[in-house]
Amino acid sequence: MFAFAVRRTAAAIPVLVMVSLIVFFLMRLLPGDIIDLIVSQAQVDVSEEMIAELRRQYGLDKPVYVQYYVWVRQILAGDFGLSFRSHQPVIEIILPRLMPTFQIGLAALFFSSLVAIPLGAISAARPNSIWDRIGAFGTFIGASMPYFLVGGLLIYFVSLQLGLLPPSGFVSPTDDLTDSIRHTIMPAITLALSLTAILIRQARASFSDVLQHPYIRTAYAKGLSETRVVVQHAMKNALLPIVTILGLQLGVILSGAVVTETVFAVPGIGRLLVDSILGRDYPIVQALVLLIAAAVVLATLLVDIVYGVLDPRSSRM
Amino acid sequence: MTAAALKIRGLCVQIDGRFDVVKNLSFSVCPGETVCLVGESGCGKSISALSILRLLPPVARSVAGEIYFNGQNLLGLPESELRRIRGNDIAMIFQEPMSSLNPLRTIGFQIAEVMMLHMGWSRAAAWARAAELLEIVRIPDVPQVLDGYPHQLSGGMRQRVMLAMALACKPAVILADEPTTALDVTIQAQITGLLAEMQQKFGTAIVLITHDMGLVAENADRVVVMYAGRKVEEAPVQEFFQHPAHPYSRGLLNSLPQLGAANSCGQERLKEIPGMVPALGDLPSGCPFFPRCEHSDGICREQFPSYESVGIDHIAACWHPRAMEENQQ
Repeated sequence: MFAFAVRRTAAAIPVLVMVSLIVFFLMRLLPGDIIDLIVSQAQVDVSEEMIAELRRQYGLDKPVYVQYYVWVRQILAGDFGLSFRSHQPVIEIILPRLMPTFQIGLAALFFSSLVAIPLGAISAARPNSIWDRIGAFGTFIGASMPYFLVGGLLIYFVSLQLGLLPPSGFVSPTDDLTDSIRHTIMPAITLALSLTAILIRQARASFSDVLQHPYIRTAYAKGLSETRVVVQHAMKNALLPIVTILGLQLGVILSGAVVTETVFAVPGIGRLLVDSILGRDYPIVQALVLLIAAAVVLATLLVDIVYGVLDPRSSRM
Repeated sequence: MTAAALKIRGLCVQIDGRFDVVKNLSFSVCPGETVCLVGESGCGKSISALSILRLLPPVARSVAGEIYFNGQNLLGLPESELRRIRGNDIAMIFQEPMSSLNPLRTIGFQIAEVMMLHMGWSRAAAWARAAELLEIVRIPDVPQVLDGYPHQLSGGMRQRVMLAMALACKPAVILADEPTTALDVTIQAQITGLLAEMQQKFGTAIVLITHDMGLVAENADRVVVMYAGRKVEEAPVQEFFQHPAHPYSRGLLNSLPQLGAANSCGQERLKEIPGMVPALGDLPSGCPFFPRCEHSDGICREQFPSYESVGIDHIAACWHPRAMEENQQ
């Protein structure tokens, strides 16, 4: 198992190198850089010499491949550099932004599993029943509603009309737990909706596949009730592919976080990413994208390990 | 004759509400008796067994008939009461030992589960009994197997586990659906040997579904031959092998390889039944076997023959029973 984990981690290195290359050069393909922004916002005329001097200070005067080399060497030394805009270390800017994204993402994951797995199981056990129809309709709604629409509707009805939950912002759970939960609910539901749609479909397919197996017939032949057959004999087997999907959905959650955090004004990494791209804050964007890529790679590794725990047949790895 | 442990009368099963896969099937099994259900693949043997415990796949439905067990008609029982019979009074062994056990549950759990369910035993008691049952079906390294998973066992071992599971509640009837088809010959003999041993011990009634005539000869007390969903002959095993009455039964027996039956060239071509089993949607009217039967005539095309007695406890559904024997004389 340990050797497996090491091997998988090593396999992640080329992925991260590719990601770093892509984000680094993509950012520089965007028209305008931080200097253009500074100059355009300056109240006075800026001379060509001053612009050249600024470029030199930010290290943007060198050829792109040299910039990349400098950046990679920095990262390997454990230094993500300074933000172009606030001149604070990138790490210090990112760290406090992780918690809100993590909390909302986890809540979304929890919420969609809680809804989708039972609904998928019932849909599979009773095809064409009312539950199956609800599941199919929910999938349709969830898959076709963009985050900004769901978020906007929630804010309008739940916050503005009914006044039940705060429309925006974030409160740390260490400051005030109840308030923190109240601030998490709507972004989490927004984020969970499309995830739930995917998950219901996956769970239904997975359960109906498992329920076809001869050992399910054996379980019925033992005299077990339908509920017991599904829970005792189908659940674990059907969860295997669902766990895989859940792990791979981390990317979806993080990309959803970008829009959701903007809609709900949550100070998470999603919004930080948007702000930093707009502000051409290269060091932050590069560090964030690399971080997200590493998280997704780690999640797939975790999925494989969980898989090994769930399935005794794969424990030989 | 003792009272039958299981009695099936006029069972009809349809697929898609249109095709008759089992039609008007009747037979019974007495305690301690083994009845073999024989016939080609697709003749309705397995479907008949599954309909006894109402485990038919959703596309199939039993539309008529009665199945009596302990004076109750299983086909009329509510699901909750039927569940008390499944695995408890009537146990089933399936054809595929590879896939009939849950790959993610320990062997111990899968055996103990039945006893916890039907006898209300504690986990510890049920596991202890599961260990005993594995001993009875002669599984080596019982403690290790109890905590192990099906993929760690060979096909023969898995079928022993299935057998242990079936025996757990000392059922009155065991339905064995081709329990040895997927196993090699030496293992086959061990499994059927175990089955017979348990039968002697507990007086279990066994319905053995097979297309293996060797298995029939060794295990059956009585034989029920099915063709295209219908019973065509029923006879005590000796009588069946010596005087098969239905042309289809004779065909089945003739298609067995026989030692010392080589022709003058020293070569032997296995006899086969000409033609093919009719497709479900394409059953001929009258006797379903007539297109393949060398003795068929006008009446065979028009009407399914009634069941006539052709010997002691021996019935057949044929307009010309023993036609071949008469020809030979």
